[in-house]
Amino acid sequence: MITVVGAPDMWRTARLVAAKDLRIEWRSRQVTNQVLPFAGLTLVLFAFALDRDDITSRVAPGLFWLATTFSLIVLVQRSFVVETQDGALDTLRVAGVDPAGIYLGKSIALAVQLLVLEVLLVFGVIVFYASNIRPAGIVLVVTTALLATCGLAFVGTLYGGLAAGAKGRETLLPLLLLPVVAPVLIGATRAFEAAFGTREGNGIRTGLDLADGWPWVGLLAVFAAVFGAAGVLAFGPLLEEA
Amino acid sequence: MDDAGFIFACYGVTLGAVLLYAGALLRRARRTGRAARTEELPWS
Amino acid sequence: MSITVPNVESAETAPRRPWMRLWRGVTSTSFSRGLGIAVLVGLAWLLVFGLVFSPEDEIQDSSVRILYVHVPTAWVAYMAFAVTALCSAMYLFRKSHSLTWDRIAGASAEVGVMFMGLTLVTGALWGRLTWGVFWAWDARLTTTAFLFVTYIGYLAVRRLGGSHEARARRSAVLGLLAVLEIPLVHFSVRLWRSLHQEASVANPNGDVKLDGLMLFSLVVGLVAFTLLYAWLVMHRQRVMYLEDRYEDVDLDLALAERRSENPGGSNG
Repeated sequence: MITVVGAPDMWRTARLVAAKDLRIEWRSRQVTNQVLPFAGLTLVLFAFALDRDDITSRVAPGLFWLATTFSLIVLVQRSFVVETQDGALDTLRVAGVDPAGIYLGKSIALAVQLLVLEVLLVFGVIVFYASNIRPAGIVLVVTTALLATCGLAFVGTLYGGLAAGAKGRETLLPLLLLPVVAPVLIGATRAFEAAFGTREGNGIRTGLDLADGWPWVGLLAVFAAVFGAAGVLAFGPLLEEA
Repeated sequence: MDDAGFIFACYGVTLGAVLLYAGALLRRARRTGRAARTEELPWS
Repeated sequence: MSITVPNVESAETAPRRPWMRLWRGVTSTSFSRGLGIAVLVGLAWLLVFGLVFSPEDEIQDSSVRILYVHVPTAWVAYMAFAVTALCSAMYLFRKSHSLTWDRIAGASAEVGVMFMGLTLVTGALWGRLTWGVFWAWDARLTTTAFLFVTYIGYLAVRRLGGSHEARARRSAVLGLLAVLEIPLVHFSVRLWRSLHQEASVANPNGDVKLDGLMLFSLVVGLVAFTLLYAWLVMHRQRVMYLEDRYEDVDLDLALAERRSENPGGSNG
């Protein structure tokens, strides 16, 4: 086990907790074996539901972020089951580990897992929905994905911690989480649309260019910053209870 | 009055919900308050 | 804390008729009874002015009558959520951590959720008459729907169980997080809609010119519903106090029984 009793450094705690979560993930391979097939399956099911090829290629950015959001819920559940089984979270708390460090560490681990998932999902979208990323849009795609993932991870860890250890957590978490991540879903989807150029010439809106995507990146940055700060402050009071 | 159905539905739903909620509240108060002695309650 | 045996109604306090039971309820005080009468009078006025005396609007015809209910429910719901946020902050940042703040926050959220639901229903009916559709993806409507869902989640968190203090802390954090969430949702939806062509139903009720009896009816509605909100929160908060206390007393009873069962036991 990791012994960080009395470690004054929040970032050191964060690094250790993140490393611990990622090591658990690496050994259990739950993301690659279960969450990724789940996300891929949602992409296929969206195609069934929407039926027409021209529609799926147009709404591909939205479906990509929906699949990511659903996977986020599964990943957050997983991230806190690890903590509450065997009372690991209580042990960390009793040991006096900085809650802000735990929060940041779990957020980082969650963000890394989400990023791996997103990279693979992008290929899924390109294959299934025949989407193309414009070469000029790659910077926008990467920036958007990074910021949106930070926002999702911060919010997911915060609300996951809130529901951790409670009965009925499985049904509660989506109810709490989905309304909050709506700005990320809207913002990241619009930014991806600009990068993909998917809406161009489809009669809905013409002249959608890369510049339309950047205001959304700003929104995503604000979102990540606000909820990251809120999580660092609020995680302590949330863990105090038992 | 045009659209009377919509308007009555609107007033009916609102007042109905409020009355049901208030009634449920008073019933619940009676049930949980049975064991309480009046002089112990902070509001009396 | 004294322990009284439940389910025994003493003869002198047991009123005979059902309506008397409601009138002399445990959570009632002379103030709340007076307030209750004022609420009933206000609602009666609202019915009379809203449905009978108010003239019909030139543009909206009779659908303006829905606004006398719709606008007050929306106002009360927004006020209720503001009260929840305020009381959550009071609970977290006051040294005493008084559970009263938590109970007011919870009572206000519950009443607010009910009124927000009514706002959505009456708003949809009004929209159908005025715009021809029940729903439009307007920033205000969308934010309202998100508020509704968010506070349903808040109420679910309050029911998670654990000690009263755990409930209070958890829900207070959530009550404050909602304050962060709502502006972000509102802003993102507004930015989203502004990129599309102007919505055909823009300016939802900015055009409505209310004057004379119409304005008066609306004010009657606002006053009546604000008083109603106060009455409901007052009673809900007191019922919550009773329920919390009842749980504590139950726990004490169980512990006392446990102790009497094994007097030599070390685990009290």
